[in-house]
Amino acid sequence: MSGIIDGLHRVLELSVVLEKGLRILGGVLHNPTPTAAADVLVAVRAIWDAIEGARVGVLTPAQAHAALDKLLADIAANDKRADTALDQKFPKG
Amino acid sequence: MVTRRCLGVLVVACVATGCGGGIVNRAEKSIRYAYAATTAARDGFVEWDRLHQADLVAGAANRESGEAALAAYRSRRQPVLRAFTAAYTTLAAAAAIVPLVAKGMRPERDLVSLLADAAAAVVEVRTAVDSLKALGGAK
Repeated sequence: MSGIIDGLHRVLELSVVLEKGLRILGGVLHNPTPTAAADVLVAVRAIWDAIEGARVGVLTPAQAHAALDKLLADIAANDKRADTALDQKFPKG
Repeated sequence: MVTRRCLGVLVVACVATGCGGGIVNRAEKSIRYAYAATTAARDGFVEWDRLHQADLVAGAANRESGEAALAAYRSRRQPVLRAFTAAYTTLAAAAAIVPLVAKGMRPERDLVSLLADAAAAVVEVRTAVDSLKALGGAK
């Protein structure tokens, strides 16, 4: 029965990673630019990290907290980037 | 909620049927899988968020409408960020309790419960992200 839990995690993991990889690869097929090619490398790396990371090592609480901090920092950076783009498109005053 | 209950039943059934031996090793592996899934989802969402906000700016007819679109989107994005926060927090808690269970300082049922929470949290992340994307960010 415990295999059900492991299996669930494996399915969840692979479905998320494959969805991401396929989405990026799909985009590349329609837009084969150097940037898109770089995205492929990122996707491949993400897939590898996800599988290899799941296979080895033990997660620490600090790693989980750091992952959350990175999410919040990346989102904040996205917000700032969008605000800056809006400022450039429609300058104040 | 239903998912959480189903996972809880599965985990409790696992213990009840005597498959608790070696639970620490299996728990470590399960936590790692859940972490990998959550982090892959995180990276994908961050990229989608960046592109979506760029689309909102590009589609803005004026500053006011652009600011409104970004503000509305960021408000709708909150459930996704809460889901990620819950997932990572639960995973941290599960990771913290593993060594205590291994040393017999905490009962296995505590770890089992956290594993169910972690699995449900991973599902919730995907649900929240998919819901937001289904709305197209609701431009």
